[in-house]
Amino acid sequence: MNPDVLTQRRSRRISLTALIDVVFILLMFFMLTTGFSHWQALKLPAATASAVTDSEPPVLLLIDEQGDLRLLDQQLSDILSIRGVMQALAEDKALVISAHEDTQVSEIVRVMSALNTEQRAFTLGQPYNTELTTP
Amino acid sequence: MDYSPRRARNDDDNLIPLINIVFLLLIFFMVAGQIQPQPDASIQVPVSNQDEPAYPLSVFVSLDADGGLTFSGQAITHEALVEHLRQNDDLQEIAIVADERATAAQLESLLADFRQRDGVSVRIVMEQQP
Repeated sequence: MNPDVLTQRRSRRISLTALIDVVFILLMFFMLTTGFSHWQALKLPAATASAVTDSEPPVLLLIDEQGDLRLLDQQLSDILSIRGVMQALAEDKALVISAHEDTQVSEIVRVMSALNTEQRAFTLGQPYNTELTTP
Repeated sequence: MDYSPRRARNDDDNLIPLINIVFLLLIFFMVAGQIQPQPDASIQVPVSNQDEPAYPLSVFVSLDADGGLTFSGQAITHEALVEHLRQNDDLQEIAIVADERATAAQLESLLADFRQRDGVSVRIVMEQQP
């Protein structure tokens, strides 16, 4: 065999078109499936029959349609901030959040998130649909 | 200096800058994004400014601003959702992706569905502000 035949063989280049095809498909896949949102999750301790077993009645934290907060212990309090709620709350009492039927989820989540930050345990109770009247 | 004759230009040579850019984009999306199911873009998820650990979204029910439910990308009724929860005994945790404009009553009717099935922990999803 003539060794020149081997050395003279033209080196063939692989076409880049096929590579681009595959890379474009991968790019499309990653562009469509990836998300850049950072999700967080709040555990919802929904009210169950066993949730409130203490003999003491729980304190109700009422959120009205505007997102204003009131505490209902013995009597209905004035509008409070989250900080005010934390100050007014006795440590040992169970806390139940109840929102007005038409309150937006954003307000409920805001309150739950703030309570979570303060590490205050709570349960999420049923919404109410009556007008709040201060006695 | 290199005076050797230039080799004949290949048509593919023009594509190399394109491939460079496409590869860079590919690597960006692979590294910066997370592959996970995304809720519908029309849902405005409540924002959070707390610095809490990220939550990997896997099984979730979407509650849109009108109270409509979506599960696995398809609209679903309350009855069908309850039936689905009953059939999937191994489901431990489910997330609610609620639109921030949905009302407490709509959220409550969804929570009532989950209450019919014991042993499922419910979370409500927030989006961390960048």
